[in-house]
Amino acid sequence: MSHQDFSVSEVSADILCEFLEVAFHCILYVRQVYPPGVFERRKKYNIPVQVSRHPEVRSYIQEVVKSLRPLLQNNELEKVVLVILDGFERPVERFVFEITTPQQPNISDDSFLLRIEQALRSFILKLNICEALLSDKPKDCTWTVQVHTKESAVDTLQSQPLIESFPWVQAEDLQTSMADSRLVPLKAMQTGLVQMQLYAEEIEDKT
Amino acid sequence: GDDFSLIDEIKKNPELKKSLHGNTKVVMTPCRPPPNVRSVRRWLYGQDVKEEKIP
Repeated sequence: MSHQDFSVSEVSADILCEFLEVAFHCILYVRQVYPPGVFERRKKYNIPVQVSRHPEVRSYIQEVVKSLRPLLQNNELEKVVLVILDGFERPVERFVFEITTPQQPNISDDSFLLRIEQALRSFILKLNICEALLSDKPKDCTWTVQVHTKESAVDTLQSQPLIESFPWVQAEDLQTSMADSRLVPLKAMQTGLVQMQLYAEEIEDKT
Repeated sequence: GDDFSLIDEIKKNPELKKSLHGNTKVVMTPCRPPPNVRSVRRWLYGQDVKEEKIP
């Protein structure tokens, strides 16, 4: 791996981690998993975004994203999913981020960072209005994050220094399967550095 | 030799593990759950009292 490739994978992992952190806060706000008063307005990608001011929610999201970084850097992450669960821990909604890093990143054009920022802004804007596209969710819900990867990449996830304080385990079948779901495509982007697709999935009957 | 242990070799060599077990897809999740809604609501109430939004 050349020095240039190493830097490119680091840059794309940084961009994606920053984006996922913003996107997770945004979903939790828009889908009202936590009360709106817990969030405060910030500016990101040149647009207002809602970020939780609850210290544990913030640090939890940071820990999740920090764990994902090596997987993103090694291109070992297939999907990141924020799952909203009902009171019985059954998934009612899923926000799926399908991420691919091209084998041969193309960053020859200097404006690529600007184009990525524009694309990520569109993702956040789309998440902000996704409430109109989804049906109401049950009142008391919780959430979790799931990472779809290959068995060989689990070592990457488990060999990090922070694994002792923030371990990952295989998800329960109950929380990974969703019967009779409806798919809502939200946004896709294809840049020389990263390709990403975002869609929501919701079960027909959430009651 | 006598000290050879297949389990140790597999642990040391992820490629060997991949060829023996295949490289199936897995879904991983954090062991620790996120802060629950009730505790966050309680925190928000405390903040509102502190900021004198609630008398």
